[in-house]
Amino acid sequence: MISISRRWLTLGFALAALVLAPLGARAELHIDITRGKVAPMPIAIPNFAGGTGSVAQDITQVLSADLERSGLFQPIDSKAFVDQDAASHTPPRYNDWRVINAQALVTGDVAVEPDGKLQVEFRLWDVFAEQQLTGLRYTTTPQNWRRIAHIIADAIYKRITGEDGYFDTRIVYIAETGPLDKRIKRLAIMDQDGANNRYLTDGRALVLTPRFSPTAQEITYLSYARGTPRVYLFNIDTGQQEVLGDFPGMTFAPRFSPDGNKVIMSLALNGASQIYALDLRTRKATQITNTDSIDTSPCYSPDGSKIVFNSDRGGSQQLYVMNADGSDIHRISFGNGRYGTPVWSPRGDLIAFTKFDASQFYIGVMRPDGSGERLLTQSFLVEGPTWAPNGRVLIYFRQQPSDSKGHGGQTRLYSIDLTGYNEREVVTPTDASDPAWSPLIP
Amino acid sequence: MPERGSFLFSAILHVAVVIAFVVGLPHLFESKIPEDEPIAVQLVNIAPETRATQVNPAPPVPQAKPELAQNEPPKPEPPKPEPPKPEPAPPPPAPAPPAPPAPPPPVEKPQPPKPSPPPPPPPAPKPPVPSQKKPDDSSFDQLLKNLANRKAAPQQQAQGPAQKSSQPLAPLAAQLSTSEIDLVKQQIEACWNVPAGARDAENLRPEFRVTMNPDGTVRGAQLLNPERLNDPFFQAAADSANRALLNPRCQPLKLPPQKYDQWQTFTITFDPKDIT
Repeated sequence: MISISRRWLTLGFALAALVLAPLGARAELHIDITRGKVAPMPIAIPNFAGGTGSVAQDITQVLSADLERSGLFQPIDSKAFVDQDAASHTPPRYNDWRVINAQALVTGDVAVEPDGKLQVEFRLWDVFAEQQLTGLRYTTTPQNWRRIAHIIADAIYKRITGEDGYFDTRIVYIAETGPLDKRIKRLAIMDQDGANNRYLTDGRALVLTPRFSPTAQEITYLSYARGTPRVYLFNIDTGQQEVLGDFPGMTFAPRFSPDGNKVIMSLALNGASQIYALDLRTRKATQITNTDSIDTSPCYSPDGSKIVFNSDRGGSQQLYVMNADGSDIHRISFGNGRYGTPVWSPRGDLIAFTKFDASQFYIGVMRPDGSGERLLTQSFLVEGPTWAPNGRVLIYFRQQPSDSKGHGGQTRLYSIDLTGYNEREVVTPTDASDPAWSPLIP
Repeated sequence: MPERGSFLFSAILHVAVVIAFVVGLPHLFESKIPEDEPIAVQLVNIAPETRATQVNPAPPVPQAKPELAQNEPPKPEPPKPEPPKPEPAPPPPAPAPPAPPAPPPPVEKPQPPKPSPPPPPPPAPKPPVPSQKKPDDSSFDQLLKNLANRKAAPQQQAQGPAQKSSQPLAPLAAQLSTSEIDLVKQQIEACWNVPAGARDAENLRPEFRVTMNPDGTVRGAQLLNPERLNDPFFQAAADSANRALLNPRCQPLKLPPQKYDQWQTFTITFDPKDIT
């Protein structure tokens, strides 16, 4: 019995193998691609057509420079174009763009309406897939041409990367002039590409650590305007400034909550420093931490439920995360050296920080649970990271060493991609520190 | 007596032989099965593959991780200080916000009149103009720069993609050798601009069915998981994968023409899972 059933079984297997083998062989070939290259995408941006004067050309240039600076695009030199007058209205001759290796193509038109307004439209084409990816039209006053260029760059960036853009934004920073021992520091603001630079304070009082409101044209910062350092609120549109809160000691390290309704800051009193949140509508202050140590540089998570800050409560200065009400404080940084100025990414997945270890400064990122620490850049002094509104790029400042005569010490802004590549100077007219990126301009 | 004894002996022997024959038969069958199996699995071809995939990831590793080096090799471009443009600051900032982005122009989406399935152009005559960068395909764990070259690297290597990819290919190896597949993988990888740094990159896995022409050019690529296209990140990843497949500079794919029936259609997955 046993032998017979075994034989049948064997026979069954043999038959199954015979039947299945050809099936397996006919299964479709499958390939897994798990690697690729990181290289900017070649994109052709011929000058927009139409308009009066050079406005169409100017828009094209600003747009092209935005995309190039992101490190994700490589605009192709217009001298290489086969099709020298591509119009936005008609589908492009894809072959003309394929031969110069353009993977994407942007065409656009500028028209002046009877009331003097500019009407700008553009289309983004996928050259290989031979289809339109997006196309939009904007109407605005002629003075606004620069913003239109940034908005178009944002739309292209979003369609190609899936991520919101960050070109229609501004950067507030501290403009530094004068010798190192008598520095004049002014609050300054400029477009993300360095254009439209202007100064918001006159330099009589020392100002530090400006931070942009996520919802309004407001900046909070530290000023010595009345002797003791205090946290101020500045309205960009009106130019008005006011002291925030009525605290007994010195307040510093302010930052807005994600909804823009609160400012969180440190209050130094009796050798310790606590974290407070101030409600901007009621002006009521809430104490969040209560220790003998120095708790400072607080920053909310984008959903407002948690706060990251640095503290020396464990001995050396490290990063901690707690709930917004101050409960459940736990340490997240465990590497060598000291950690400071944590900033939660607007997309929530990372926290940027400054690290000091073995007499070098680093800018790095880690996940909110402290894992996955990556150091992006290193220098004699790099500090003060601030996120682009899409959480993809960081700006920080870098200071060169100075000698005993006070030479050197140049301080400049730099941007770097989250991947750690594409580090570039953000050009400012003077020395610059403490950058703060605005949200997308509403 | 001796006759009877020998008869008995002979009978027992015969019975023993018969039993041995009957019982032994399955053994004979069994011994044949193991012979069958190796033929079906084609162990012979698996061996070269694993060796090949093990060799591949090795070279990129040393070159991509200079310890604490400020300038990593694949940097797109050195920081180029742009000429400052201190434009006269216009007095009031408050620009009237431009009209909200109008919906796509009324001009209907100009679909190019598709003449016919466009015969994909043979590898375009290299124009002299923009020199394409050398395809430096580095594995995903090296795409994100980390100055402190710590545990992350070995960790990711341990669960690296190499082993994983070998499995589904095994049964097919009889037809298209693994080195032939590896060659095509390398070709496509060199053309894929990965969405490095994208959020939740580990969940973006666009999959395509590719239809090929006998000359190794791609006739068409169809996305097999289009239900996720409303996620802009997935859309971007799918587009970038599609461009890698359609890029004329990466064609024709180096596939053996005599095995065309094996690769006239195939599926392909682009998996940026190791980007975090």
